[in-house]
Formats: sequence, structure tokens, C-alpha cells
Amino acid sequence: MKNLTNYTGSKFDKNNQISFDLKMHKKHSKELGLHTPKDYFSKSKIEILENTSNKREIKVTIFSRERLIWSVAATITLIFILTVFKPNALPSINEVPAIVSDTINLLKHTNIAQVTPEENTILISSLFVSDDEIDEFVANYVLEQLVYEEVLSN
Amino acid sequence: MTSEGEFIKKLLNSKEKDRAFKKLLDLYQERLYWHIRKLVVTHENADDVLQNTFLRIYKSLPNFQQKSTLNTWMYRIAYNESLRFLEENKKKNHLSLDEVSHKYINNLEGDTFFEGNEIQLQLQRILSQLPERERVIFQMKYYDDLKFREIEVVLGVKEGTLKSSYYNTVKYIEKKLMTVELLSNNKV
Repeated sequence: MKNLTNYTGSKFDKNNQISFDLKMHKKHSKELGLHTPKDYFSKSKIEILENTSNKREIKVTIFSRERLIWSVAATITLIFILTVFKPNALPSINEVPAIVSDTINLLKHTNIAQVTPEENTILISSLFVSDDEIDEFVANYVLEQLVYEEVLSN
Repeated sequence: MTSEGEFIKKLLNSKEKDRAFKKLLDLYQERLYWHIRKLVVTHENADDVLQNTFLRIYKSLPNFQQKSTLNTWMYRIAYNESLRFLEENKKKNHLSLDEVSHKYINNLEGDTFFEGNEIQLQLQRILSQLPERERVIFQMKYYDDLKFREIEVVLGVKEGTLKSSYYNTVKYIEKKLMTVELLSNNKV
């Protein structure tokens, strides 16, 4: 039983490798009677390289599929959020300031054609008045009315 | 000439990986094939396991921590893939690992890629009769020409145990082969 020159050093040398492979081949065929088909190693090499490149393609496909799944999930979540929270929806009638709800009621019960353009403008602009200004206006109005009624009663 | 460290760097570099992997195939394909072939015996089986081994090597390269040499790391993968193959066959046929090996050896004469004479067939039979661990140690030392410290990394068996196992196996095989030769001479 002869020992082979060991090829496990830290340097890679093509000639060493070829002679090592040849010795190995001879040893396996002479002592164990094992053979391989003609050109097996070159064909097998091509097959392995094809398989590894397929593996890379599969990785890309899986990545794309994951991206698609994430996109679909994100879309569904977005639709759900929009449905539940309705950021652009009108607030319910109970949540709006009284002056705005009055305006809405007025619009509902009044034929829009009867409202003059001037009134229309006032109504619309009232929607954009801040709550503080409305409170101040209401307080002044009530005070004015009280004073007016007091004067009239006297 | 490239040092192993530089070569590993190339294997881990996405730009150079493909070229380096081709080189890796050039360097290790044959030796890993023979290592696998001795474990799974027939060429068809060895071919399947070799393909799986290189796929696993390719896949596991980013996880290679360089705690061992590239050579021993790949032998370990090849050894594990061969064991996995034998385990699958064991489950399919309800046989033990040793029985699976015996089955392959018994069918060896029918293998197109076995062209051995009677002595070679006897050597295969003697090897198949060895306990699995002893057989693998002998094959890795004698046929794959690995160093004991490399076999220690692959199999996880201490160097001292490996040495005594190997020398005992060599003696056992020599004794058995002498008996076979004596018997064949008597026949003639």
C-alpha cells in the first residue's frame, strides 16, 4: 500500500492537482476496480454549474414572490386603514360645531334655489370661521339681545 | 498560485464567486467524487450525492467560518450528504446502514462501472464487513489520503482513536487478503 503525495497544502497548484487526481483515479480503479463513464467529470461539472445557476434564479424568483406578497399585503392594509379611519370622510352631524350643523340642516330643509348667492356665500364662509370667533360672536349676540330686550321692556 | 485565504475571499465575493466556484470544482470534484463513491458504492448513487454536495457547498459558502480548511469543510459536507443518502435508503428499504452498504457491495458485480477482478471484489467485501466508523476512517486515510488531524475535523473522532483504528484495520485487511490469496492459490 503506497502513500499518495498529499494535496492538502495551503497553495493551489494546477499541476499538483492534476497529478493528485490521476493518482487517485489509478488507485481507485486498480485496487477497488471502480470506474467512471467517459468524460464523466467534465459533464458532471457542467451539470453542477447549471444547477448552481438555477439555484440563483430560484433565489431571485423567491425574492420577487416575496416582494409581490409584501406589496399585496401593504395594499390590503392601506385599504383597511382607509376604510376604518376614513380620513377624508365628513364628520358625523354630532361632531361638528352647532353653527355648521345648523347650516347643514338649513341646506337640507331649504330649497337650494331659494338661497340667494349672497346668503350662499355667507353660509359657506361660516364653515371656515374658527370656534373661538363663533363663541365670541354668540356671546356678543346674546349680550346684545339681552340689552336690547332690557331696553325695550323699560 | 493562490493562497487558500485569498481563494476563500474570492469565493465569498459576489463578483468573483462564479469564477472561483468553477476553480473549486476543478480542484475538488474528483477527490470528493471518490470519497462519496466509496461510501455509497455505485456510480449512479455517487453522481447524485456529488451534485447535492456541490449544491450544498455553493449554498453554504456565505456561512463558512474558516474554522477548518476548505478541504476538510467540503469533505465534511460530502460525508454528511453521503450519510443522508444512505439514511434515506435505509428508511425506504427498512435496513440498517451496514445492511445498506452490504446490499450495494452484493450488487457491485452488476454495476457497469465496476470492472474489478476477484481480489478487488474481495477487498470491497472485506471493507463492507468492517464496522461503519472503521471503514470510513480507513477509506479517508488510505484512499483519500487525508491527514489524521483532517479526519478528526470531518468525523469528530480524536486523533489517537483514529490512528489506532486505522492501524488495526490495515492489519485486519492484510490478514483477510492473505487468506483470500491462499484460498485462490489452493483452488488453482
